[in-house]
Amino acid sequence: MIEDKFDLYIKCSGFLYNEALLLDSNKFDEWLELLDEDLEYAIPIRITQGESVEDEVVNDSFIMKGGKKYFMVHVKRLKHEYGWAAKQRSRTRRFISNILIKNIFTSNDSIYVELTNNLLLIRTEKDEYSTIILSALRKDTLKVLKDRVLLAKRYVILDHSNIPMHNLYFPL
Amino acid sequence: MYDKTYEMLKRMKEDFIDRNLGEMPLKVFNDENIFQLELRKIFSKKWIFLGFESEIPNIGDYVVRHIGPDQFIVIRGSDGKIRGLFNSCRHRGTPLCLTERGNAREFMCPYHGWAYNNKGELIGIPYKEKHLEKLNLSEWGLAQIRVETYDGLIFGCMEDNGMSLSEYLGDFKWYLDIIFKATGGMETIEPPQRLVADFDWKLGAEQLTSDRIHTIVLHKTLVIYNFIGKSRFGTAIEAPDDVTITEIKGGDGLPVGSIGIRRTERKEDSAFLGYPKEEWNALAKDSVSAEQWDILRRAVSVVFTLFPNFSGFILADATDSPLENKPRVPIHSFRVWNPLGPGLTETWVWTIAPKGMSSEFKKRVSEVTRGTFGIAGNAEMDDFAHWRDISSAAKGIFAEKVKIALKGGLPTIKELGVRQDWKGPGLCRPTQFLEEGQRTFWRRWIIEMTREM
Repeated sequence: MIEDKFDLYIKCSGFLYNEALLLDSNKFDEWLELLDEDLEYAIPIRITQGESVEDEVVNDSFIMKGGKKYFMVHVKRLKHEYGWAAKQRSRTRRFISNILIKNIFTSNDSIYVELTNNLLLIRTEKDEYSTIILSALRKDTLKVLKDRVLLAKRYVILDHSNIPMHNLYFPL
Repeated sequence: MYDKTYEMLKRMKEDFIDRNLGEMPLKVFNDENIFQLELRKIFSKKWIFLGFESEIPNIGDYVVRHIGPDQFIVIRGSDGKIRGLFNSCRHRGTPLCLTERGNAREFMCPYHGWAYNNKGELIGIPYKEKHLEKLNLSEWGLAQIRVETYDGLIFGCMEDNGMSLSEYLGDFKWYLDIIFKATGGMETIEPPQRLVADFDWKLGAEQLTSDRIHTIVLHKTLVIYNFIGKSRFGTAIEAPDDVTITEIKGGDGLPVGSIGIRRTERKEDSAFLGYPKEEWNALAKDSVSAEQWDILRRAVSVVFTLFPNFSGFILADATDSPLENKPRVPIHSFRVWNPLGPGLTETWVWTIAPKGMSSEFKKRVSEVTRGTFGIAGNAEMDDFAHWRDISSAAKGIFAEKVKIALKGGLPTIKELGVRQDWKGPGLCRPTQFLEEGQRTFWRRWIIEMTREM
């Protein structure tokens, strides 16, 4: 059992690192292949209020929310020659860390792993010398199949209630 | 250093107003002196949009809102009145409120304990009898700006005297009523998105005056991928009755805004901005004149900027996810472009909907609006990227010399004609392919920037 959990940890962390590499390489099509058909992806609006994260993340208010079909068009649009946001020579580098497995369960013959991880995203525009930093806690659910892992759920809790960036054309 | 700036602005006024050339120096989009002058001549003088009344419905409800770098607690006091309290203790200046919104009966300063009620009155000081026995509390309430509302919109003005909000808005009220009254009144669906990015606030403000052409070029992909398709009302590119109303005057006779309205191709077709028929009972026909009601009835989209930095639009029949079979509803995106520095702007983006419509409809409006506009919206992500680049090009000295053109529909370039049958105030042009809405904004801007203080 201990070996199983260790194996899952390696599989899941490997998935997250590989996903980050695909996104940082603008391989959005390949990223789509990592998404479960029933993906639930959301970045809620955060407000500086109350005492806890739960107080600050407002129910039913989002900056980005969608499933696989949402992202399929999104990615197609970015790839079009008039998909300007993705033509601005932005470079992103995602640093994924602090991966903690919270829960493991089985459903319909698939193993699901609920985990949290930190995202540090550094964005560099064109030849500019300054960079933009964004950080977040991600609550993910990964679906572990025999031969691959898929992203089933992601909930991105930004550290920013005032986002220090001109757009978010890429998923976090 | 200001001399050079004044010279540049004086030259722009000659070109822009006296000679009506529609030309301006690129430098207006990124300059330290211009930013400082804007704070002094515009943002501390005019009525600035702060938020919606529906954000603070109950006694003690507050939101913290900004005018330039200044922060105000916009709060509904125990007497029901909305005030704009400067977020800074009158003792040593400590900000009293560190949250963006909430409900408060009073604010106590964490430094020495001065306490204020939700009307901004100083109500207590610890150990007062020992060191401040004769201090008159009533003289040391929180500093305030004037706050007034119109159609559920809250505005603040740093000037103690001067025009009321109603006078400032002038003829523009006629158009605000179509959006914020004839719809049965609007309310916010969720808290605003906020983002800070290095672009100039005027790029957002001028675009939403009515820049229709950029929607066809920059946002071409929205139509290609069917986020915004040919609507039920038949207006993909241009319909015969599309109009732009420019030079709408405030009570002082100066241009205060413009609005673009796209309309159904056939007079008898009712669009009501794309609201579904089953939601039409929320609309308030009797709250406006027959002419205003008819504009709402045939409107497929409205887009406006109210000087200086409040913009908004409603656009029928959009979706956030074209591959899914979800209802198409109107985008409702309203925003403030708040200047924080030269070429640096904080954008507040609200999603609103008519109060009386179903919660299911409002939820869909929220989904569709964030999927198209705001920081991750498939349309607006492209705008922000370009505005940022423009502000970067405007940074240097050469940008003072480089003139940029805003000539669409100038009489010497292309005669547009006027809709003589238009019943509302302002100058009604029978097209949206023009740049007169932007020029309305810039005319007011250059008048204010060159005004003697």
